[in-house]
Amino acid sequence: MISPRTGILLALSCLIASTATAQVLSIGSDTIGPTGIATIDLNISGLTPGLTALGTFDVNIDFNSSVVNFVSATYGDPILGDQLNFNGLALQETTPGVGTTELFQLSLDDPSTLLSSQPASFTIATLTFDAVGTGTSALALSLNALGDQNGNSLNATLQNGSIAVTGATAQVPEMEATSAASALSLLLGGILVFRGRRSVTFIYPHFRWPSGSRARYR
Amino acid sequence: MINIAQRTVKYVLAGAFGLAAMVMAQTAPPITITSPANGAVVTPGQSVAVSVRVSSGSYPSGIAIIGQDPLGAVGPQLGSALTFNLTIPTVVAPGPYSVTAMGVNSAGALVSSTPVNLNVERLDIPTTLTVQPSSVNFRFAGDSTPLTVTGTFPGGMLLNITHSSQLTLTSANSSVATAQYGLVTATGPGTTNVSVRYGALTAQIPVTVPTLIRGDLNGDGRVDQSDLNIILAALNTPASGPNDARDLNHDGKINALDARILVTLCTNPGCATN
Repeated sequence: MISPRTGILLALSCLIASTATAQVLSIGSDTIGPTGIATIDLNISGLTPGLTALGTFDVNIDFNSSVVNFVSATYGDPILGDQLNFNGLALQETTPGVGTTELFQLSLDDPSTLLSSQPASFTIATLTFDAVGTGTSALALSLNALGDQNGNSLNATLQNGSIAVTGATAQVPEMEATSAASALSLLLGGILVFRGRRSVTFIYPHFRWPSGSRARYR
Repeated sequence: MINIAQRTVKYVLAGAFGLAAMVMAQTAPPITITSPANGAVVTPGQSVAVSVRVSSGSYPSGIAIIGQDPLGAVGPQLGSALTFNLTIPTVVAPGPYSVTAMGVNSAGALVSSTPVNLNVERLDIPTTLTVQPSSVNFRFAGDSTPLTVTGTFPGGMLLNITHSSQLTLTSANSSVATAQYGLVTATGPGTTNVSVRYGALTAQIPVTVPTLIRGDLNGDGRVDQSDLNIILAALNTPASGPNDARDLNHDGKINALDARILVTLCTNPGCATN
C-alpha cells in the first residue's frame, strides 16, 4: 500500500524525470537587410548527459524562397565541435530543394562515446541564407527522424524560427579595386559551390552514398 | 527510349486521367465506355468494338479512344452514342491494357472516361517458358525481385508473358517467400521454390533467404558499412512488409533510426569493414 505522501513524491519524481528528458529542436531567427546574409543555428536541448544523447537526425527546414535563399549548412557546434562526430566517424548530407532543405547526420560513434561526451544542449548545424526579397520567411522544422544513441526515436518539441528581410538598403562602403576583385572571386566561388544541387560531405572516407538513395517517405 | 513529344503526350494524358479522377469523386463521368466490360479478354488481331456514351457536355472536336501503348488510338467521332473499332496488334505481349475515351469540351478542358482494361491473351500456347532470373538468392528478408517470364510461341516468336492473366506464381512456402504480380518477396530465412505456370507449362525457381545476424543485410556474416549502405539506399521509404530486415525497429519505415540501430550492431567500431 502506497501512502499519500509516497504517491505525491512518486508523481513529483515522474514529473521531474519527464521534464528532464523533454528534448527541444529549435532553429534561430535573424533580421537582415536586402543584401544581407542570415546565419541561423539549429539547436538541440534537453538531452541528459550519460542517459540520452543524440545519435542521428534527419530534419527538413521549409522557408519562403521568395524572401530568402538557402546557401549552405555546416554541421557541428561552432564552439564545442561536432557532437555527433567524436572520432572522425559520421555521415552527413544536405539536400536543398525549392523552399526547403533537408539536413541529415548519422553518428558512427558508439553509444558510450556519445553518452559520455555530449552535453545537454548544443548546436547541431549552422545554416546560412541570403536575402532575395523583402518580408519575413518562417523557418519551419519537420522531422523525418530524430534518434538517440541507440536509434530510439526522440519525441522532441520543435521550435520554428524566421528570417526578416528589411527593405532598408544597408550602407555599402566604397570598395578598393583589390577588395572588389576579392569579392568577385568569392562571388564566383559561391556560385560554383551553389550550382551543385546537393552537397554531400563524407567525413568517413570509405562510405559511399548509394545511388537513388533519397526517395522520400512522407 | 522515349522522345520528348511522346513524353509530353504521356504527361498530358496523365493529367487528363488525374482530372477525370477528380471529377469522378463528385459526379459520374460525362464520357463512359459502355462496352467492352472492364477485364474483357481479347486476342491479338481482333477488332474490338468500343462503345462510348456521352451523357453531358459538348465536344466540338469529337471523342477519341486512346489505348495504352501499343494499342494505339481511333477517332475522333462526333455524337452522343459512338462505336469505335479498335484493332489489337497481332504482336503484343499478353496482359492488361487500358483504353480510355477522351474529348475536349467546349470550354477547352480535356475530359476522359474511366479507363477500361482489356486483357489481351493469345489463343495459341507457348512451347517453352523461360524465367529470369532462374534462381533467386535474397540478401535479407523483405528484399524483393521481379521475375520476367518469356514464352516461345509457334514460329519462334518470343513474348513477355509476365503480366498475362494466364500466368500464375505460387510459392511452396510463404514463410520464406511470397510471389504475386510478377514479384517475389523474401519473408523469412530458408529455401523454397516458386512455381511459374502458364497453361500446362511449369518452371520452378529456387529461392534462398539467408539466416541473418541482425543487421547483416547482405548475408556475409558481418555487420558493416555495406549493410549500412543498404539502409541508406532506402532511406525514408516504407518497409516492404513486417519482415523487412532493413526496418530494424519495425515501425514500417526505413529511416535514420534504422541506420543508427545498425551502427550499434556493427561488428567493428565505426562500422569499418576491416
